[in-house]
Amino acid sequence: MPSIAKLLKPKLITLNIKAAEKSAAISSLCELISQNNKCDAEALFNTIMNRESLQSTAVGHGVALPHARCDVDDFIVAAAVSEKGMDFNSIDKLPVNIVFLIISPKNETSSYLQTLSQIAALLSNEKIRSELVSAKTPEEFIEIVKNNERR
Amino acid sequence: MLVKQFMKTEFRTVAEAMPIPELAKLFITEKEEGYPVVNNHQEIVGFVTVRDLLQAFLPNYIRNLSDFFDYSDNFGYLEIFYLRGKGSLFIVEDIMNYNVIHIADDASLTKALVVMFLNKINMLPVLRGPKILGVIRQRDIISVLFEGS
Repeated sequence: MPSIAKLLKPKLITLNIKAAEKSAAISSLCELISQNNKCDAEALFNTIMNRESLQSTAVGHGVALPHARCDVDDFIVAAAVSEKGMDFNSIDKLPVNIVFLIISPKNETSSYLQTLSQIAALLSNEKIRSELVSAKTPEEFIEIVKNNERR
Repeated sequence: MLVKQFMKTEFRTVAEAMPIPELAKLFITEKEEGYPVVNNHQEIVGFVTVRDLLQAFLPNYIRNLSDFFDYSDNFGYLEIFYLRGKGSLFIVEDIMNYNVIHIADDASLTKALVVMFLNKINMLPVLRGPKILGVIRQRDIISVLFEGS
């Protein structure tokens, strides 16, 4: 089982993201990923938005987990926090405060779904969500994940 | 003998957006081992099999044989999100194969058999461009060989 904390990099975490809605938030995270990895932001954005058009990954309780399989070599996880909340077309209609964007190599189905499930399970805990929204630095954000993920 | 003479033109496709639990129900209730995946324009975009679905539940450590005999008695996080009815986060697009092994309608039946054997699959979508015309299965070929139809 991949460790979420190990997949997270401080450079790929945006606290207090300025975006107000899904498209802008995903675009911002794709730009961030593109700056730190060998992948095209626009292609990444289109792939993620295409997946979102099939079914929203805003699973409720202020959490969204946009994800897609792309032509990348390794897993990439980026995260964003918005204290104010973003319009993500959530199933419970509530604004989204925490976004984990997960990119997986095309052939890594098993790890991909397990990682997503693991993140979703972590974020199903209200206390952890609250701690993540209050994180002051990306390093603190990762530490909260590390301290709470089950092994 | 050409594929188009013996392919089945009545077949099920599944949508990219179909939730995984719905796909699982199809696999349980029907005898198919896989389905072509189509987009809103009924164009083929992937293929999904029982193996693709079950692969998602394989522990990662099966790649490490030294750990093989120490596997747990549950399916971990996926169990939470499938077996407890919260599986709508995942859809067919998340597990399907993008590279669809297929055959043209004007290909020979022998070629279809060879393609299926080499790729260890028992069904091929029959395509003309992105449009799916039908499917040909190993059992259709058996039917031709032994029943002449």
